[in-house]
Amino acid sequence: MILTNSKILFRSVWFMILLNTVSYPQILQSKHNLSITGPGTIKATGEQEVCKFCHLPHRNVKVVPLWDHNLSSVTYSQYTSSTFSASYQSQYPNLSSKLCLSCHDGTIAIGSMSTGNIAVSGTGNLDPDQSLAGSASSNIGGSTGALLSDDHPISIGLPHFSATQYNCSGCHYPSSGDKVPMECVRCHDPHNESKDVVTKKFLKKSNSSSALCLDCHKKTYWVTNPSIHQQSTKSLPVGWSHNGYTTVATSGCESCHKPHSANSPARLLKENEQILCEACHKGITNGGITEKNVSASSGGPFIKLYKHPTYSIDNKHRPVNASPATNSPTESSADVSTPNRHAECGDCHNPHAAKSGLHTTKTNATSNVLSGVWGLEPTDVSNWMQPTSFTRIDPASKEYQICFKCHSYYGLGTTTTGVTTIIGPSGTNITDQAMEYNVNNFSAHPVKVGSSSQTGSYSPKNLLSSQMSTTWNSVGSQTMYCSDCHGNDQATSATVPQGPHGSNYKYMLTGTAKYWPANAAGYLWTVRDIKNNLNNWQTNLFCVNCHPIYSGGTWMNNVHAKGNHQGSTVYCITCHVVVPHGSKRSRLIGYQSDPAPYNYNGTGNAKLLTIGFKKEVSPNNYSDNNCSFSSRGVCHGVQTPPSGSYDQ
Amino acid sequence: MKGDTVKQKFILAAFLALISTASFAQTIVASKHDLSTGGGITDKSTNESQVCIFCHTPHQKTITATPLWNKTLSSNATYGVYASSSSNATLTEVGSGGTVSNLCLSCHDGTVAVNSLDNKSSIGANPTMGTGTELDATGKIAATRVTIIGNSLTNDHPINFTYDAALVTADGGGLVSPTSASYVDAAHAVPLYAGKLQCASCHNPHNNANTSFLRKANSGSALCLTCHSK
Repeated sequence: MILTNSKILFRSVWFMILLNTVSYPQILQSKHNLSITGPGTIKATGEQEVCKFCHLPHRNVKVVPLWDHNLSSVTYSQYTSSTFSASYQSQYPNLSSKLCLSCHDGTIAIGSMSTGNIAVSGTGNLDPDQSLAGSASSNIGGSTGALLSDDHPISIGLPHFSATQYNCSGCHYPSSGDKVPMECVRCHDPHNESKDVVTKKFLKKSNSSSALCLDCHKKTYWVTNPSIHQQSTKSLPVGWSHNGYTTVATSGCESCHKPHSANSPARLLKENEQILCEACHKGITNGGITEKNVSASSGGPFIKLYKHPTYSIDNKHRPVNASPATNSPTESSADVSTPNRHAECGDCHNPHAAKSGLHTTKTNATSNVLSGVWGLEPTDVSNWMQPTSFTRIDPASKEYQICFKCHSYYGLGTTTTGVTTIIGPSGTNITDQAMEYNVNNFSAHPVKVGSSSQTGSYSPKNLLSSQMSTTWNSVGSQTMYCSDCHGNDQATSATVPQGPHGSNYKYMLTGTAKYWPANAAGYLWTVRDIKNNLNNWQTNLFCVNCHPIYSGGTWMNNVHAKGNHQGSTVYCITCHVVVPHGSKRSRLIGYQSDPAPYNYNGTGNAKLLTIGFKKEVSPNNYSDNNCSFSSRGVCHGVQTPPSGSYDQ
Repeated sequence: MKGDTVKQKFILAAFLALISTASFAQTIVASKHDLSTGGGITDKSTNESQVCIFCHTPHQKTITATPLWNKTLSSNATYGVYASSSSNATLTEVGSGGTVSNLCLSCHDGTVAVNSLDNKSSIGANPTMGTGTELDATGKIAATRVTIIGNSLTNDHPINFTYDAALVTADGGGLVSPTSASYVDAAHAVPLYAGKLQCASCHNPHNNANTSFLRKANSGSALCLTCHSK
């Protein structure tokens, strides 16, 4: 029988394929095969050997690992950040990494061997001297060749990290005593380009869902209580991925971090913080992502009139290791005080822990989007005194603990009145909220504790449930968020976030009604507005979001019902403090002596007038002598208390 | 389909013969290991025409080493060994040893003249050599030559270690498992000596067809990759 040529050919090809599958060395198929037959764009013009671009079997000047490529003499910069607690080895970089850098810092010709030069070519990727061009993706040394400060640290010395945040076994193998130190080769296998078939890049193993990163990094929350960022199967925005993985979950750490040549070097972020976050959180569909819009570049809340300074203040966020033992980052009082006051995304959100989910009512427990953020619990002092001692809570269990980082003594410094000299975006002086929510105050909104637990409050501590809206009628036990009152002026939707990012209404007041202490026309609210149904009070007067005040023809207390209180110049803020967080007096009443901004300090009655107030046992039990004034002619004039004394 | 098989065998045999012819055609004669008057180096002998005598002798009162060794061995007792944290091989000092590598080092460590022989043959004295190119005035390989390994093996590819399945396992994937204690590869291009890698595993002193007396052509680093599964 005649065997045709085609049959022979077919069988030979089949045999060769089999050979390749079994034993074809990976190096030959990689870009590190720089011989003339190599697959990459950079390769020799004549040299046929592969190993010799790095190794020489005899008479090696660099000894291990039979190294022959000439080494760079560049002095490299070092990665540093306020959360990086390790030191570097005295020999930096270690020889092991210097071998890689002998090509990859871009200062030495690819074929520069101790035994002579091997000519190479590489369109667009090589400088005229045949070293890696600055524009080549594999050049990590930057234009000077010295730039390692925007790369993952190598040659880490002792002491380095805590076992809380890092797996020792990532580098140390207890069984064999061997180790792969934190050098280039910890993550890269120079002989095999495709162990990670998606990323390639000579990674030591597949880095799908950051499996390689997680060999060493034991990121708090990421594995044990994972963020939506760890789990989301949504596609990253078009052009965003640098590692070939296309979903948030599979790209993992590298959805936000970049181990080499990071644009924002501290913590190796791909971009400056808010730019990084808005890549996805932009309210528009890009790739598989349509997230709520927090961006300034596409009409999000940060372009509105009143906002946290997330976009306007950069490079102030300075988390430092509170404790190298736990490696948990925090900021000192100085880090959040003038001139370092700031509000970056990461001050309120922890991208390693944050999950999706909306606020619920009647609680102050940290919501999903604020998971894993540290906060401050003040040690409360006596009525209307400033707490100056705080306990670090990590993670914050209550939302206010996060706000208090900036809105308390910790970020504001000393004030005896609660008022600082810092002017907020709404034009008024910022006040100390830890002081305002002190449980020993006579009154406070139930942000820290339910009204029943407001220690300083005289009986009855609570309003009646009938005085509250049906949403907020669990008086005594219910608590609330800061963000129940302060947040976006737009209704929440798939692209509109909650939370106090920004608003076109003063103080970022949120809810159906958003005006306080003046109405939309700028006139101070009065009981008369309610009595005579003026100025759209039902939809504009901020307080009525929760406090009906007047409903079904009935006043919720006999003070507001009093005809004398329904005149055109008896304002809400004639009796109540303008900043209704808390008060030194019962029922958020303010005294004549109180300073602005608690006191509106306007002309006529547009200011606090009371000098004595005594809370009654029921909302309809008030009479003239519950309030006293400085002299005859001022409201009720000088009174004597119905029983006991004022200031109760 | 028996005819097919026969024909295939024939084709394969013919192919192998073709390869064999090419590589067996070259011998030591006129290579750089031919130090005789007709040899392949500049500083070849001026008075000794025998080729093999520079290494071998068929008869001698005392043969200092196999295979019928005629060359004065080096007295260097300590070459040292290559050390690397990523190497799992156990290296044994070669100095004063009786390995096949000691034979190579009797010229290539540069301490003994290439013409220092035990059996001086008919000349009655060591052959006279040229000087000034490959050899220095005393007949040793000149210090500047790339063929000088020197009296340290710490910066050379490791030799004199057992290369077996256990080593391959310990290395964790970077090495090819040898087919036997005599050869690394099925094609028998790279021999082992009692299971150990020696100079002669990579080098064939009698055949310079592949340059550097390599056991096989190193295009595509084929020789390196015989052992290293990179």
